[in-house]
Amino acid sequence: MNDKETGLTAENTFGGMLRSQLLATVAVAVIAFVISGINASLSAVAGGLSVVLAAFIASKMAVSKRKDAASVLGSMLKAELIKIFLIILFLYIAIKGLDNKLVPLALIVGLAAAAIISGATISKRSKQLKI
Amino acid sequence: MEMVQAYTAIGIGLMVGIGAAGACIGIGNMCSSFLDGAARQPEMIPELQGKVFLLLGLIDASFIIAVGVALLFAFANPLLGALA
Repeated sequence: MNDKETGLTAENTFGGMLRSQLLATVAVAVIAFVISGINASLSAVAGGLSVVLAAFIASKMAVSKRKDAASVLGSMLKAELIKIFLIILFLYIAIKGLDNKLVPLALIVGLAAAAIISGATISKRSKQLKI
Repeated sequence: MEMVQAYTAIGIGLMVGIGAAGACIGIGNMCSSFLDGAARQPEMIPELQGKVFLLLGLIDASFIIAVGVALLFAFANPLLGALA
């Protein structure tokens, strides 16, 4: 059973990951809005979107055209490096941009939710494969 | 005030440093397993590619969160605000 038969291509997996991260960010933003108002909601969105945007750009770079293991791994690690740099850049911009309106806890929770939820995608994919 | 800044700087260094060390160990383990699996079953490489990227994100999550907290303390330190 290969990835064409199961539909578990790298692009599908990345799409599922980004959807999960966006949903987590929106959920945290709504909860932050209910608990603490618009500034907390904006902070949560800034934290979550930093991860989602960086993961989106990195996922475009992660797919290797060559199919040998070393080049696949090389392109993955390069994409991950760029992802980390982009997250640091976006977080810096968010922290400087929001300045006095920043709610630190909401920013960190939004960031953490988006960063951790990508792991949920792998269990969903494994269920499709029934492994 | 200076003491708070100094201890915050040490804390930021520890957060990023220990987080990066842990993430590197995890990524090293996973990459060696990926190469092992790819050598045994090369036809599984395209499917493993997506999973490797997801797991890279998962392993890096703790490091990314630590970097986020460190950036917050570096550029908008709430402890200094409490002092002021």
